[in-house]
Amino acid sequence: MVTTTDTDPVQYEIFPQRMLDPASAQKLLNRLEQIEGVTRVLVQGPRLPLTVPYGPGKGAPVDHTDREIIRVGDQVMELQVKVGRIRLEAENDVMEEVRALCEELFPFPFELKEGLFLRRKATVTDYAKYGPDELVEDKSIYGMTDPSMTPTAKICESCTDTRE
Amino acid sequence: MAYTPQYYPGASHVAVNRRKHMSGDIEKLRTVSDDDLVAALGHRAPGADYPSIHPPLKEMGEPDCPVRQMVEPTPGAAAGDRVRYSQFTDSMYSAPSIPYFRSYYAAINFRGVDPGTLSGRQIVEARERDMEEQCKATIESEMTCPALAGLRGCTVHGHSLRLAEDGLMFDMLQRTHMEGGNVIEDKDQVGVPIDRKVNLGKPMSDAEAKKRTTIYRTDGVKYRDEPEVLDHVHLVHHRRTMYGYRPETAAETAPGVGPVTYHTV
Repeated sequence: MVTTTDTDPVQYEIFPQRMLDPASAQKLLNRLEQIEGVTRVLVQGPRLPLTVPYGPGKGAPVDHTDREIIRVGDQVMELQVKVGRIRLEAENDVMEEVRALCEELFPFPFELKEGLFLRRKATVTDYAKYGPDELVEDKSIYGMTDPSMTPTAKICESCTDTRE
Repeated sequence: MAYTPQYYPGASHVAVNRRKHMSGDIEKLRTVSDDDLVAALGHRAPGADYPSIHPPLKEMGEPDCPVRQMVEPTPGAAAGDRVRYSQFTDSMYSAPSIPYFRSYYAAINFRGVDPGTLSGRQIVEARERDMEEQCKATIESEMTCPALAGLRGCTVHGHSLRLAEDGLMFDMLQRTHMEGGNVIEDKDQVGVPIDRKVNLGKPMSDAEAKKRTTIYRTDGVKYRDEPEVLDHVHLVHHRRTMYGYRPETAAETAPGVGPVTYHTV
């Protein structure tokens, strides 16, 4: 059983009424990154496949314009999902900063919730991927990856910025 | 005086729209050319002949059958067309139509169509030219908003997701996109790119979509605010539950007994 203590970081979920375009997502993520105390940010949404996954058109290229390369801080990554919700973890209470930021950036309503959205303990899947909990150096990886991701896949390093 | 079926109970504009869709008395809002439609459907090349699976009925020499003599074949059946499909998806965010009413529309107003109704999509199978006629009428009418509904042969899950910032229903295959305020389709219904841009016109505004919708929603017309519809649904439910396949034997709801009021729990 996971119990929450006062020393545990707080977690929030931003749930905008519209799913975000890559430009809006990049802007939001960059502004979130500047808020002091924010340690982890995760975006979630429906996947944007490279090719048609099934049906009579299986294998045809999709070329989705929302599958764009974005820059967050000093990281460059390719968006593989349409950003539907943003979960973040902070060391201290940043609820009002996040709310003010969302009110500034979103021209549509949004929900902002505090709760437990990113797991703190390793699951069996995490054990299979990363090994025993005591041997995992960076425990912040828990809950941050796609459950269907292979252990060898990289989150950011495989992407290159092709814009310049 | 000729009898005019009412089709659907209710007094709100949602009920009126449902009646319009069922009766086929729908407004044409846009024009899509035949070639554009054929390209978007993706079953044959635009301008190509209809492939056939049997010779025209007139050349086949049909057996002496009174039913065949009574029922005039549809143009597609008479020509021996293949059976092909069109499939639509409607967003839950106040799309003009919904699968059930697309099926009612097809089944009531067209001959030789086989509508299939699912939670998020609605498919019509028919002989190719009959299907194209039905699909064209649907896509050009107020039953379809290019942003909130789409011709999707597969991957229809966008119907239950939030809209994108530009108001388009999510589509992981991106069959449509906005260009100069219009919705452009540049892939066929299964996501294979086509060599043309099919202009589906401007999307409906929020207010217009809510005006033309057939969806009861808490942020629009609430289902609970439609007593006549609720009463009718309760009546049908009661008769089917209590009397199975003989609803006419239901004594308490027989004609002349008077109104039966059901109360929602």
